[in-house]
Amino acid sequence: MSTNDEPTSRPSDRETRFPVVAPKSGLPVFSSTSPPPVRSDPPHTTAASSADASPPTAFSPPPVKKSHARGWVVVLAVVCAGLATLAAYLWVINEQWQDQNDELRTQVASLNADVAENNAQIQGLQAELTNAQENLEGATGKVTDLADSSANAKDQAAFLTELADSFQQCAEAQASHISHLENASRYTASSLAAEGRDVSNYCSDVEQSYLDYQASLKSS
Amino acid sequence: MRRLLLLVPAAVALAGCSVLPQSPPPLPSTAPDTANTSTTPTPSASPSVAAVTVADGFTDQEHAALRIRARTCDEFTVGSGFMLDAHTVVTNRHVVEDAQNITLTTYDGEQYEGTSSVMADFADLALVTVDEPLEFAAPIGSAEPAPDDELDVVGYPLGGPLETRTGPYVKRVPDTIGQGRDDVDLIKVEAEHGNSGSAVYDPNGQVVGVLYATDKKGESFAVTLQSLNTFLSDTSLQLPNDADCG
Repeated sequence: MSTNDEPTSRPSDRETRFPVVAPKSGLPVFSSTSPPPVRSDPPHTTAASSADASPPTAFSPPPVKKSHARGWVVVLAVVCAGLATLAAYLWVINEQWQDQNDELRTQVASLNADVAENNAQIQGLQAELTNAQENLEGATGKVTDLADSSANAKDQAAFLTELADSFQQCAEAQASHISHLENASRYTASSLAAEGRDVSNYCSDVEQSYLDYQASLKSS
Repeated sequence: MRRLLLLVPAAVALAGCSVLPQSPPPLPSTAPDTANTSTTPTPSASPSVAAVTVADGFTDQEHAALRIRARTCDEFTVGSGFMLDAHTVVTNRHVVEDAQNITLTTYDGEQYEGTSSVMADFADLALVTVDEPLEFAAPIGSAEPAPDDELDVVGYPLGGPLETRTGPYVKRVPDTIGQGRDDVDLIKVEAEHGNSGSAVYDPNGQVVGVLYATDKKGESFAVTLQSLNTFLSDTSLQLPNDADCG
């Protein structure tokens, strides 16, 4: 028969006939056949076989429980103290990190503002640089065009100067030929004719050069 | 007691998994000082800016280029040349041969008068001397161009505005156009009359030839660097250029 089949709701009626044995679990156990086990734990046997037989003392917590509880209290106190210290430490660290975070955020905001300002300046300078480059290209182009115009004008001036000299020589040659014709008796007819051909050819060449020049002006 | 035994390893496990946070390290001393942050931007290199090597917008090659007008016995000729030193200009022989007077014009219209000239008979080369000092000088290269080198031809095509035309070096070929005896360089660049005497520059900006002819098919021919160096170094090869207009 299991001890669980016999309720222990009437311990006071049987206490005089059956000794009560307190198991490790702390609950009393009744036994009708076997003698009670010999306990080597003096406090328990003393309590169970006490001549005073003070009832239900078997249900009070044993003294060892109190020492355990005190141990737990100490442990809990130590743990609580540790946790409190830890919490305080974490709070201080958190404050430090937050302070530094705020400082860094302030610097970042300031740097962002500087970067934005610098970017604006860079864009402005790039626009000025582009404008300056365009102006420079335009200026160099104008210099080149002006130099070209000047050189070509000097080419034409040199050519026209030579052409004018040639016309002058043509005119002088024609005047000389006319003078020779006026004094034809002094010269042979063949020499006068040869001079006339030479003068005519020379003046024709000069005139052709002038016509070529005019044609080149029209084509250009 | 068993709970305590369970609690201890649990605490140890928790401690092992986490490290107590430390105080933030001090900010570095090199942290940017917002008050002194420089607002001067660092300029970025621009290819278009880098291409301009001088302050007035013209390149060194353009500075050294000259437009040459020569009055020969029976015509005017226009060609190109480049400054060799303060008093010497290099051009083609056929530009100044039999010239009675030679006029040289710089990129900005400044004018010089040639006082004398000499020619080569082995290549289409000539030197013109000026009294007034020239302001620039083109560096003569030390190495011949290699195939596919991009070469610049700087001169005055058709006697017009100064131009720089670029094309790859092709190869060395026999001279079948001019009257020279030396081989010449073939360059794939379109040139015009008036480009004769233009300096041919390698990618390093050094003269590696003197343009003297074109086939009108997008290919041009240049006197080689070797011929130029021979002509410049040996004065016995510099023949007088006396105009005989008979």
